Amino acid sequence: MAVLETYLIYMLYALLGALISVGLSFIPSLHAYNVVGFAVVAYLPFMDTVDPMIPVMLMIGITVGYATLSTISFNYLTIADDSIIFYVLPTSKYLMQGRAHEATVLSGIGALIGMAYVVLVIPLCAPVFVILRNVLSPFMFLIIGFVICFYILSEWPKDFGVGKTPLQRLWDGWSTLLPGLFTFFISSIFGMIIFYKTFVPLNAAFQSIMPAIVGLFAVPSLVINLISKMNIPKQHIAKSVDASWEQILRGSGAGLLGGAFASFVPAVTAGPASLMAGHFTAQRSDRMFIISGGACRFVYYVGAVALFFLPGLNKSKGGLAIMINLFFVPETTEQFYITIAAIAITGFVSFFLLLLVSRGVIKLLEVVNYKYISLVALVLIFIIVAAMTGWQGTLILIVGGLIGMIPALFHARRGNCLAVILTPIMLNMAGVGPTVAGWMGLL
Amino acid sequence: MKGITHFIFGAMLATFFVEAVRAAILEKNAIILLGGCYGILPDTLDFKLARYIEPEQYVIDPWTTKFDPQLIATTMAKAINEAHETKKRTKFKIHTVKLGADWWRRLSVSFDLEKKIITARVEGIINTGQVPIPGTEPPAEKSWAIAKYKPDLIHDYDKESFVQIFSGPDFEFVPVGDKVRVDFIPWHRRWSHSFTYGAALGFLGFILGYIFTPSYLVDAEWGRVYFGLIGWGIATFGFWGHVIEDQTGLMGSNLFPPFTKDRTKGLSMHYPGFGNARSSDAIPNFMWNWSAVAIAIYNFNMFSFKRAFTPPLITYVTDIYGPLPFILEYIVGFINYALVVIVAPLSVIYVLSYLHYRKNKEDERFPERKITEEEMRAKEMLAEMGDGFEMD
Amino acid sequence: MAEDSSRLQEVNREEAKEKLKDKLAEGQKLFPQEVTKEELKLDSTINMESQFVASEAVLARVCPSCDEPVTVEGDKCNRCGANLVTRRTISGISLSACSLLVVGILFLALASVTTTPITPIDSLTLDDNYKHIRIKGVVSSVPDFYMDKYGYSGTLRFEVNDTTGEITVRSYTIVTKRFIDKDTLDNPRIPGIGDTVDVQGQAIISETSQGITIKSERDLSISKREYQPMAISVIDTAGQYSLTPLTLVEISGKIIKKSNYTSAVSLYVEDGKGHSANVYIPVSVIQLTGVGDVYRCRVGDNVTARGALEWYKDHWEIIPQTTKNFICHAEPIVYNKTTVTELMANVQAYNGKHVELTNVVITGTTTYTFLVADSETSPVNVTVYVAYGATCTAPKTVGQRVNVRGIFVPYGNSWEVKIEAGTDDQVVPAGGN
Repeated sequence: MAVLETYLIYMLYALLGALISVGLSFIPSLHAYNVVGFAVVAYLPFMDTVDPMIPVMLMIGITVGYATLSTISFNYLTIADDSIIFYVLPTSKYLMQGRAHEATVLSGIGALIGMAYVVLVIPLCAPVFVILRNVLSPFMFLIIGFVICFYILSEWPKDFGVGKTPLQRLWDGWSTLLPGLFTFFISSIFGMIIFYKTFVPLNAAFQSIMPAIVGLFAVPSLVINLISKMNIPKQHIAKSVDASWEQILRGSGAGLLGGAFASFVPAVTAGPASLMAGHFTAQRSDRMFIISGGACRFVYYVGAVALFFLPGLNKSKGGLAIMINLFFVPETTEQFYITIAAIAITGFVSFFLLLLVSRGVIKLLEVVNYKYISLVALVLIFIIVAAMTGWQGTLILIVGGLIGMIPALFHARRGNCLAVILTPIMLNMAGVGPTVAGWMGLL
Repeated sequence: MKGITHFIFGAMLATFFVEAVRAAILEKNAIILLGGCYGILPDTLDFKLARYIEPEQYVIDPWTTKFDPQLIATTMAKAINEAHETKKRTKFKIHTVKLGADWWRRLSVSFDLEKKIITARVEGIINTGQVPIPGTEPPAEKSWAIAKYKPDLIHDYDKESFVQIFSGPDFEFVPVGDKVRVDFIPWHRRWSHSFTYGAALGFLGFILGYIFTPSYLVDAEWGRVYFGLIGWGIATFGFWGHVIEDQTGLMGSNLFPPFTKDRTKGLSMHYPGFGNARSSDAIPNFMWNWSAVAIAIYNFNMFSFKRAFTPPLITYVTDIYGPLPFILEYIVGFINYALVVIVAPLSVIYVLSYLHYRKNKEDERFPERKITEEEMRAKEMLAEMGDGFEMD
Repeated sequence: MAEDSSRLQEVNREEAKEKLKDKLAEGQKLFPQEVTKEELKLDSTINMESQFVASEAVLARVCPSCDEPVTVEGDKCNRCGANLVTRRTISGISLSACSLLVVGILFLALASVTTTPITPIDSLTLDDNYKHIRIKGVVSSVPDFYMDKYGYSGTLRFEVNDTTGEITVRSYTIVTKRFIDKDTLDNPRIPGIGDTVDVQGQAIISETSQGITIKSERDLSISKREYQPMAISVIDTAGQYSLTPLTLVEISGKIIKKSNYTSAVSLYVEDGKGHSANVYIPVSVIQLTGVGDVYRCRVGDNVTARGALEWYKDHWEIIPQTTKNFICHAEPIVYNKTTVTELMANVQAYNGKHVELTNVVITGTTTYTFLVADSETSPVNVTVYVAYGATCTAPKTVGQRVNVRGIFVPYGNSWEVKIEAGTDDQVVPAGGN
């Protein structure tokens, strides 16, 4: 009975975490790890007395909830103004067609399949992951290098190459590529500075990359919302979604591949992984893209935690695993099963929360202009970053925001900003990070 | 094949270079990265360079010409006639019409080879996914025009070409005897997808290998040259891998410039039950990618100093015959590994996909509904052009 | 008929035009970016109104995705492109999600019955390094305790033997503190020599050593201690091979000798018939399980001691696992309240007795002792000696007022009040200052 009571307490904390993530879902680009970081800081003084599995369950609940619900802000608050966005993301298209709820459900379907993968496949395929880890560990720097090379080389020109001379046409054609390359380069430098010479306060050192990531991705999205001229049309709460079983399977299959890749390889996040998985499986449909994104995000965020708890692997990858590792090292099969149970139960609840919150956001947007929500979100982000990392982190946030605006305004791929973590980690894993940092005068 | 397929294939070929794998383990040497980079390089050269520096001749920009279909048809006919009369190649390009973030006006040109007529049409509105919006077509009497041309045309593609999203089609009219041949996207695979250029560009790989020779080889006799050759090999084979992959479709490439000038026809390989595979088709791309990744992992394992796994067949054979030479061990292990990791899962996927496509009668791959080779060729062109399109 | 149908189409086209005008008048966009003729730079070649060319039946359909009328035939919405036929209901998807709840509960059930298998110590190899393992065996050594600088916890270390081999088990500060805080007689958490333990933790295996690090207090369980009463004479007369080492025994008798060493307290307990047994209480056991009655007991007191048998040099000794079951049956000490002046005036009367001096002042200090008197001007002083480990919370500064409790004993040619460790003896500031 004592065991059952303990498990019940664990599950309640996990569900509490999922409820907390509901608040996060309204704030575009605010990351679960920002809140989880607070939880870690709050727990540390009680390390001696409180069972470490309790904060772990809370953090898992927040992450599972966030992985499912983060699509809300993405679907409802990423506005496609064609004066500033060259290609409209599928979710923005759905929003402008009044189908954002449908897009949310599609993403939720992807997340559900991601949940099934995490709770069923990962436990069964544990030996495969252990073998893969053992084979690929010495080559991780190469894998990250391949991701970087593909990311840079695969960005195709979006402009038409109009001009009288070859040079004019070349310049026109490269007008989106050059800002992308520049963004990659400057983000790499930014990342190296953060890794080697961060001036974030020591007690917030484990969150030193957070202001940069939030600045690079969240701030430009919100600024674009503020300057956009678009109005969101009335949204319809559909009772069904336009998707065939084949599309669901193919989309989620690609998402699972991408998420598994991202949860396994350091520095690779859900974004580039989803892109590469989409290419890997040659998918083009909007529906498949949205489902794939939902599955990829879920497997990336939560799969990394499952791998962390996997006996024999205990791979510490991903923000949540790294933060848990600060105070707890999972060891037993029992802990792994408890974690899987928490993921399954919280995931189940999160899906229904997703449907509810989506309806709530629709009602909210009918009353409150999305620009005001974006403004509030922007202010909240600044407050959270300042509270966690001080004025130093806020400065990093601003710099990241300025860099993030470059691809947004010049129609380049925004994923180039990920060089902020890809490049330093790849260089470190290759053993040349300190050398390069020395050349840059950082050491 | 899609860009990522070429990339992964090139990376996989690089893992066959044992010295490069060991250098990666011992000294974190990254020469293997060249395999992937060179794997995608041919299309990079075409789509980021060749298409822009290709001289233009006749260019139609519908925005500035007010969607005049007569102008399109007349200019195209003029270009054909000029090629026939001057015996020199002529070029013709139509730009696309972007109406908004996700909306494009579709145009088309079609060839009637018997009557020697070009028909140009202004059609309805489509989105970037190329889904037409019904009801946006202009009245027929206002939206089309014809023009006659003189010579006989050699036209291996679909007789109707569409101007849809992003970049419009490029045509080249090539005089061949008394006829004129129509080439589509003439700058693609003209020189970039060749063995000769691959070998030449591989020289950069040699230089990089020479400079970044691992320390344990630097002092060896010819050590730097040896590793430089490995760099050349990785780069060149990555490049050649792309060239070979592209021969499987309908559009080949100019394989030995400057000695050859024209593109080959391609092997037009068939996938049983599916017919011709286009470069953007999911099944062949996925199978190719999966196999390449699996082989790369196998190579990493076999060439490492300590193997993470040993295929059971190796153990079984060595128990019977004793220790095997490395190459035999590799082959025996590969047979076991490939059967389990590649053949088995891909067979299941292939069969399930085939069963699905059989049910879906609208799909052109349904065996009883064939499309012509010309249609396939045109679709392959479109797939090549569209391969660069990705979602950010 | 043809005329009728064309008239029907004409009528519907007019209706459609009206609807279109209404929509445009309301400012609604037909699709995201409404493209006007001006923007298209066309004259009259494109007729936007021609979108609505449909029959009545077609006009009656509404797209389930965008909730707009579908005005063309076919399976797709002409506004948003959604498929009208091939769809999945949200209620059906929600039902599928319930399977996750079932899976979650199943995993909880699985967790409740999952145990780490017990590993024989001799099967451990270098590949097991850092793995989570479980062993079961007998504690074969007295636990070592390395106290940290704060004095509340530290590193606990002991050896466990499972008959196949021996392994060192450690727990560090946080876990050790939990053991100390939760240790009770009925539910022991501190292992002692002779205890049967079931311990899990992270294996630390090297070529020269093997160890386990306990990461959680739940990973150690100690079997119930069953002590068998044994006569002191049996222990006293038994040879090295007559008794089983690590057997848990219980004896009772009178203390005839007590020695306080740096590393242990050694007692000889006699049965009243000339036989005695050595009870050896390591300081680590005292630090981990509390002082109990160890320091309180004196020569002449009756005690009950429980512990494990261990052969030492030429005799058997009893090593307790805990001080909590070491019982001293002597009466509690009564302190005689007196003053320094009276004490020094009646030294023989107070010789060997426990005394209490209240509100005396420190008048001098030396390296190991200090002098107290009834007042700063009083000429009569007595030396106070605080033994190692004894309670002394008052600062040893001249002028400090203190309350002293100790035993009055001769020392050399003089007398002193000795403050002993592990007793109620103490030196504390007077009035709590």
